[in-house]
Amino acid sequence: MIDGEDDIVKSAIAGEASAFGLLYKHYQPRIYRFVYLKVGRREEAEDLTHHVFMKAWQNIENFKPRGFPFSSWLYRMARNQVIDSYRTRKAETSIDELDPDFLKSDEKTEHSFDMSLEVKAVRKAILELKPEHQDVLVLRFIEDLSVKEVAEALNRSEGAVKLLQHRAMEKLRTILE
Amino acid sequence: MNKLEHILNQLKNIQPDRTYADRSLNTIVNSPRSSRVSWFSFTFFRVAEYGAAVALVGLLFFVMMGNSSLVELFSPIRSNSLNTGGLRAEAEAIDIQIKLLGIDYEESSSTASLTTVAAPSFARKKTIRPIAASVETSTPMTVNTTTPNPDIDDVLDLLSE
Repeated sequence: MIDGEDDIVKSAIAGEASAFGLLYKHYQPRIYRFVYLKVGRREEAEDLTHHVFMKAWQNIENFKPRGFPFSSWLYRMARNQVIDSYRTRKAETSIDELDPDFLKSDEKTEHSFDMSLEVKAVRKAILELKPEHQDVLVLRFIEDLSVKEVAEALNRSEGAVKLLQHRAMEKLRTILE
Repeated sequence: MNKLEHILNQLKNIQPDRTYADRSLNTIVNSPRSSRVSWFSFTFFRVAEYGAAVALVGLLFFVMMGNSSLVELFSPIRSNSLNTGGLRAEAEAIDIQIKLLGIDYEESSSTASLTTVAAPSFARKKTIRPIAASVETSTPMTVNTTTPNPDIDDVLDLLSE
């Protein structure tokens, strides 16, 4: 959450493009990552992320804080955008189509190469999970959202999120084994 | 933090292309915000939506409460013909007569029985075909119970002469 986010959101609602720009720069990488990990292709993730922020800009006055960060609203829109894209065309994801440079690691050691392979395996395993398991794993372990924030973003109860998290981790381990 | 969570954490390194991000932001903030511009029309349609809902509920209530008069008003069928009292009187005026004309046993044919039931006569005479269990005939028969049956033996004797 950005410092003074409520004021920035209010300014964006009033139509200040610079305020929306601040929100965009802070949240766009997270939304892109969330979408990318669900669809598996960079071009598609870029398109969907663009549509998410376009909708956010055009409907920002509908955002009601209710004590949750702006990101919860964005994640919810991103999730719906991905679901819509699944509906319009069948998702065809292959590990061969993955962008080999999607991980930017500064380390060049042998260990980092091994880790990169492991990360790629996890990345592939995430694509095999159910969408709701993907959502919880990405938001909890990659975006570091609290259970409460994830519950708000996914429109679920906190108990349901904890249960989904447990099942998602089990399923991920099973796939990796 | 276990190994799997550590690996998941490394996925944070996924970043969008910088050029794409800048271009996307410019496109977004330069696009018109239709909802902000059309605040008046949004409010107007919201009010119209609620108004239409209330009007429809009122119309439904009105139809439910006064449907009989509305049916009479708009129906292409005149309600006089649907008057239940008139229909009942008309039904009672129909002359329906069911008569058991006769049940007779022919002594010569112990198994044959003849039962005739006359159909309802609606102010006109009809020739009734008897229903016979063992006698087939193609000509209509009229059974008269008032005249005595001739003795079949006498008739046969007469024919044999």
